[in-house]
Amino acid sequence: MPRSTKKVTDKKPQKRDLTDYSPTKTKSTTKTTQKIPRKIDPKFAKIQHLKTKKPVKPSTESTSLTEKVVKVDEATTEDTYKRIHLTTEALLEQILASGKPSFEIPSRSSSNIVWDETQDLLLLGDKMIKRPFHSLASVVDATRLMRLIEIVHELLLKDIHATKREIYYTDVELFEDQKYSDKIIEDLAAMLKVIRNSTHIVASAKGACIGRLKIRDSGDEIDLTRGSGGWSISPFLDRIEIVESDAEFILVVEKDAALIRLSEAKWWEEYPCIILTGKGSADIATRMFLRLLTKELDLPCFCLVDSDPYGHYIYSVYLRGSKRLGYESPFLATPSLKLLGVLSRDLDQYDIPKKCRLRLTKADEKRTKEMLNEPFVRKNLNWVEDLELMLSLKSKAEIQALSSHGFEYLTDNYLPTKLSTGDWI
Amino acid sequence: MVQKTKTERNRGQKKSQSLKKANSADSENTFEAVKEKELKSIKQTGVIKQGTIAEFMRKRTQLVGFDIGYHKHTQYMAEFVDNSLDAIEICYWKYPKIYRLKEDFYFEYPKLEPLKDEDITAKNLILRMNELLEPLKDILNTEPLVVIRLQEIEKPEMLSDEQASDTRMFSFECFDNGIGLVPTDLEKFGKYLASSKSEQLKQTRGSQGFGASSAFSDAQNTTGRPITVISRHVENKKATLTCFFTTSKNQKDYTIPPSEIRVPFQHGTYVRLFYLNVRYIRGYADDYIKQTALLNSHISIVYIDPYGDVMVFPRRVTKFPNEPKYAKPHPASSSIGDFKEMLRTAKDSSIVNFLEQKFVRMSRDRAKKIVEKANKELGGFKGLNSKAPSELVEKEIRALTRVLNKQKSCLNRLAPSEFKQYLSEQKQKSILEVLSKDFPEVPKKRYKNLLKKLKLEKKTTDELSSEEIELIQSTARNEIYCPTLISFKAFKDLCNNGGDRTIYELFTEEFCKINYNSARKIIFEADKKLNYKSLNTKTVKELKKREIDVLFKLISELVEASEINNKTEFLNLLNSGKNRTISSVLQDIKGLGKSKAGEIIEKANETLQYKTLLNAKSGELTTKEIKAIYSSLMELDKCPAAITANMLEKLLKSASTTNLGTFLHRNFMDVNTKLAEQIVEEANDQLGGHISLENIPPNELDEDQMNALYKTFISEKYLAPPTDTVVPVGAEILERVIKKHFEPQFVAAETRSPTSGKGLAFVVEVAIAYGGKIKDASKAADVIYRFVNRTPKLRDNSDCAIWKTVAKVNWKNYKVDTFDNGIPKGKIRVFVNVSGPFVHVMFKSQSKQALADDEVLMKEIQLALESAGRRLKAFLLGKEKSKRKARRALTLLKNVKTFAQSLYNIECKDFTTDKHIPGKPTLEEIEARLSSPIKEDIKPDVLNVLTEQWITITEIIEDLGLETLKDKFVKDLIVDVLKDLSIEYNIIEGASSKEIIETFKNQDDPATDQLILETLRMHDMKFLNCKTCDLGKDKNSCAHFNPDHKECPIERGIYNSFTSELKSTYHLDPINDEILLDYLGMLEVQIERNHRLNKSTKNLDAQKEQFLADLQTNSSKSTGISRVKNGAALAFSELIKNGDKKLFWRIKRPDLKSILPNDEFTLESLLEMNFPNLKGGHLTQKDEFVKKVLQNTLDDLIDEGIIMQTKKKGVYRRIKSR
Repeated sequence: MPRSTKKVTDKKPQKRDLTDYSPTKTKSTTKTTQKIPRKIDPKFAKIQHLKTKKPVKPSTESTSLTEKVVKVDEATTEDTYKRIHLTTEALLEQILASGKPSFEIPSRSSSNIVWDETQDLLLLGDKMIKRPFHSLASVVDATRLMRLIEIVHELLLKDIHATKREIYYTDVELFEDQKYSDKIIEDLAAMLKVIRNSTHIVASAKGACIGRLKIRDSGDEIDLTRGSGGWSISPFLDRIEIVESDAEFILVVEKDAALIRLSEAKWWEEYPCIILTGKGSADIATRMFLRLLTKELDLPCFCLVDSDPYGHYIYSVYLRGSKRLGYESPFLATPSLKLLGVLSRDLDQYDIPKKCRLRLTKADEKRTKEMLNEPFVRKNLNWVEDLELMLSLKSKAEIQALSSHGFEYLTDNYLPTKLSTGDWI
Repeated sequence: MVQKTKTERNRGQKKSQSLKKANSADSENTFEAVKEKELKSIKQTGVIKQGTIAEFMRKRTQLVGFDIGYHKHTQYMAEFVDNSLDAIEICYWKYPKIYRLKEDFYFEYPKLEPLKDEDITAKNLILRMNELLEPLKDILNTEPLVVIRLQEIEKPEMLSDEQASDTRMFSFECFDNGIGLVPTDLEKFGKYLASSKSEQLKQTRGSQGFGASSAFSDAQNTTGRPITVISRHVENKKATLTCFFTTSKNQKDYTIPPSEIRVPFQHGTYVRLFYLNVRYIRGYADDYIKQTALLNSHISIVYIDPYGDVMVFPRRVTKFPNEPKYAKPHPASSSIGDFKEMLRTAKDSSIVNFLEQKFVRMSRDRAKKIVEKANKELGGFKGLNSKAPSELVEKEIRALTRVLNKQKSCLNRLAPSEFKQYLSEQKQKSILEVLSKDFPEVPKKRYKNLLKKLKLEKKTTDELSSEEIELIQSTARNEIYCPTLISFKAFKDLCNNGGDRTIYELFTEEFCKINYNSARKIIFEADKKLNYKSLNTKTVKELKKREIDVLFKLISELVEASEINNKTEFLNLLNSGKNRTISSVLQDIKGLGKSKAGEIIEKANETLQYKTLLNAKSGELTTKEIKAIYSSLMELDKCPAAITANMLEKLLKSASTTNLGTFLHRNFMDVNTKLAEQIVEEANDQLGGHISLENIPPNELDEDQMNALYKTFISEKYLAPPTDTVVPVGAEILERVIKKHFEPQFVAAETRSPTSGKGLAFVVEVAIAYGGKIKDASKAADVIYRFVNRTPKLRDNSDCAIWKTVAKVNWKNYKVDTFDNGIPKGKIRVFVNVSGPFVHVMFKSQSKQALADDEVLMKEIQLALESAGRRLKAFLLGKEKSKRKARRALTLLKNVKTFAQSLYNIECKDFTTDKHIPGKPTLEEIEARLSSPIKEDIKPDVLNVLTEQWITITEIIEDLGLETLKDKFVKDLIVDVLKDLSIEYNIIEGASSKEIIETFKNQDDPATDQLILETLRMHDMKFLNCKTCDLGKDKNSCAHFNPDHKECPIERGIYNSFTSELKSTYHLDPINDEILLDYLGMLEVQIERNHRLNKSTKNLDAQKEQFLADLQTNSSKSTGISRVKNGAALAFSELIKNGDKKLFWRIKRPDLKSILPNDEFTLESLLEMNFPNLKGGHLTQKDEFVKKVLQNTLDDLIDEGIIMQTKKKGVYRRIKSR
């Protein structure tokens, strides 16, 4: 029988008053999330400034989406279960009436992706596609979907989770390839108007996190300042509790290599922060975790990616969600994320030698131009400027290019300079 | 002799003809030699013998298709079946009510016991015929019927063993209930070139009068047995039986002279003969019959083959084709040979009539135009009109001379014999009368003198003796001089002997044709030559003063004329007529006559000392003077009658004019311009040209004239020939018949509108049948069915225009695959029929097997094929669509189970107890609901495929185009769909093995045979191979296994002993019955094996028993193939019963409305009516089903208000319409 999942963090985070800051304050061991007070480093003046300027973020619950978009909920197990039955009952009725059942799924084609300006989020439009059983084009998808519903139904009943891979292996003959089952999984979530986590299908997470943060994972407390590899982000985020943190900001890096560099330098000791990586393009769990952190701790967060179109794209995914999962944007996106580097203008500013720069390929140029066409990019003039600069320089560089000035350059010079001067987008 | 008589004309022509022959002899060197040879051969007896057509054809029957081989059987069929069909059609056209054609007609013919070869006596013959016709006695006189029986009988003793080893003797019988022959026609029947059709052009099957006679020749040549013909004409009370040989003299040698007998039929003909040929096999003669039946579906045909099997082709339509009209030949189709032949035999009075009446599309005006043109053609190439006189050649000069000579009748020039002839034709007329009237150039007086001299003046023409006639002529020749012909010497003598007579008197008295004026003219000319001056020749203008004075003096002296009183008056007179002769002016003076004027001029001449020959005495003339006179005489216009070729040539050479007409006018006496033209024309005629053809009867034309006429005739443009002479089968009938015969899934027939190419009116019809019961053709020849005037053509395939055209069509365009030679391939049959009265012209050879490649014909065939092809393409595309639909259904259905299961699990199953939640639909329900729309979608397609014959599930799948998806799922789906449909659409599933055997036995389809044989062959693959022996303990090896032979020796032993027993018991032939022996041997092995393995052998035993029983009944009359087939059908039925092959049959609802009895009826009585598409011949087990169908139909009819139920239960009655 369905068990209701309990939200771990049902308490609202305390509003932080920066003026209340006291360095003498001891670490709080209460459940309530607390920050470890530290003296204000002049290096972070800009960050403080950012904080004060930060607009009051509307809570997820009260997210009022415009009429024309599909409302997606982070539904409880019971709720999802009910929704499934609503769907199947309707199907059965159709079968008994005409013998010709048909699914209705919100279209996830790019034409049905809407950018919500007020909230700065990518959302799904109200365009629906039909997936009738009696059509050669959709019969296989319809059957797969039906089968998936059965599987999810079982997951919900048993209150267990399964990864996408597991789903695929429950009926390899039917699904043929994991890419098809993955697609159907997204279809199902969209159809039920729940986020994917509500279907008890979890993505295998590859992200890692390290820094000034204490969490409780399935009851075990973990201090993320310990160790060098960081904590692997768990896909079961509903079992994670954030205990405490004294970080001043969150730093999202694109690659594992950067994380290792920072972890080796124990960078967070000097610059109190939480470092997080999605190891390339961020998976859902990582993005949700980042969102959870920013929501709970209310910290400014920065993103360090390669100076190439792909890096900018990764940033944009953290920022607004991917197009594919547009409807889940409210639950995945971190609109307050700032792009710290490496910016195109940094290449000259930090004297990245020519040998460390790469030429933009045709595909890069195309991708850049595509990004420039995105409405949310165009709204940020600084970003536009930097992308255009990239186009005119016709060169790109990885984070590692900074190592040309020495391996410590990133930790000792670049990041501090950027942060202290407020040189971000 | 002035009018030209007809005989004269003809004579002229004949002359010119012989002239031409001589000319051609010049050009051909061999001509003389040939002529010599001819002469010699006439003189000697010669080596060349004149044969007769009968003699010729008797030895060369292979020319018309009777060469030994499988096709010879066909040829016999062809000749007599065609004759029979014609006889029936003629009978129908003459007596349309003789046959009952109202309803569709079905009948059966039992298998007869073969009769023994008996002596040919009248009694035996009649017995035999009656036996043949007995099963048909009910329909013998009402149903158009042809019965053919071919039997192999014992070889005649007289044949040597060698001859007999590979040939067999056949008895051939053909009966038709057509119009029959009257005894006189019967007398002629079988003689060469005796044909009822060859006279006129008509769309007929044959026309030459060779067919039957050649067949007779071949029959008696090979067997030495006589031919029997029994015939009863429709209007005769009794039939006539004859039995005869035909002789090389084209006569009949009767063994049984014509004798009257009683026969069971009221009209018809029965022919029986024997012939030798190779063994009969199927695929030739039977094909011919089959194909004939196809296009002659208005006639029922029964064929009993040498195996004793009966093929019945019942009539399929209720209408006979219309009688084709006799057709006149179209000018464009007439060859020069035909044309000349027609001319020679024509009895028309004129060429115009001939043309108008013998040809179609020939109006009188057009015929006249053609003749006119031909006239021009004839005159145009050797006319004299266009030539200058000097250009004339000797031949032409001679011709011209002849014509000129004819212009005047001259006694001198007339040959004595002709003169005699002429005189003898005159009846009792006075000789003088005749001469003066018909030879008027000489005055009557002179003839009188002449005759007086000869003392013949009182005699009439018939009193004259031959000598006297000669005397008249010779005297006339001596006495009457011809001015044109007289020689100088003769003239001089005449003058010298003239004595006192003036030259003028000589001329007028002694010469023919010289009158006063001419004589004077000659003399004055001579005067001029001699420079003699005289007033006689002068005109007034030329008078000198002295001469005027003399004249005036003389006038005033001699004439007491009051008018001329003084000289002034005289001068005035002279001035009034300046250009006139003096004599004529003088005669103007009153009282001055001609003689007086002459006297005055004479005197004046004397006074003036002028000299003229006018009055000179002929005896005193000097030679010089005579010469001058003679030369003047020669300058005189010639007498046409007297001109000779030499003289004419001289004249022509010196002619100053370029026109021959003018020349004649100027140089000949009494020839005016018009006459001159006539003379030239006639000379042209004489030269063979420019005779007006209008007046010559067609049969008298010479070669050149015929050629010229043909040339203008053929070069005209004519309207296309009329097309009412062509009677096609008709697309609708063609489609229907092919549907019934072949049971295809699709058929498209196309009849083109009548066309004419090169004057041949014809219609092309094609049909394309596809799918259904049509099997894949193994070779191109199986695909094409060629017909000409409804007659199938089986030989010389690829030579034929039809074949070539079929190969030319781009079948790929119509979604049809082809063989390498371009002929369509697959489950397709192409039928082409060319009809028309002229079609026989288009055959390539006498045996009439292949049509020549006529451009228009090929074009027509191609257009028709393409049109039908387009419809086929549409059908195939539709099939493609249904195939797609079926495939789609399969894909959908494959997902139904999963989908339904998932939905069921969520909605209708208790998760914890794993049980069905009451009130919710079951899994089956959901599945059924889900799949019903899918099945509904393909139902029409499946229905479409079903025929009114048993059809296997495999065939259905093939017809749906799903043969590539031969998995069980497909089969299940189709069976499922059929089950769904079964009641609603009257589909019967399954058949008893008896029904299956019947089905296959009755199918004379090579493809079916192939299928059956394949099945049998597959059978034996299973045995004698050790791996499947099953005897070994571990089942993988057998204790008896012999690796060398790879078979089990024990089983081989069983096989061998059983098959040898079969051979001895049933006289099976190890070669022919190989498959059969194999099958039975294997069956025995299998039974033995089952015994040993303690398995049931019940089925196998039954199979064997039935097989042997079948063999027992059939052994005497059937040969290998049919035995194998019988057995194979059995095996096949077992296979179908045991295996997963299912048979289906769709019953079409009978059209009860049209056949309901008028009185009361019950369901049972209706069932006894044996509806063709309801009972189908072999439907026994499922009669309940049939009843149900019928009951449904009756219920519908009640609803429609057509019938009603009576008070008695189960009894119905028709509601009478008001």
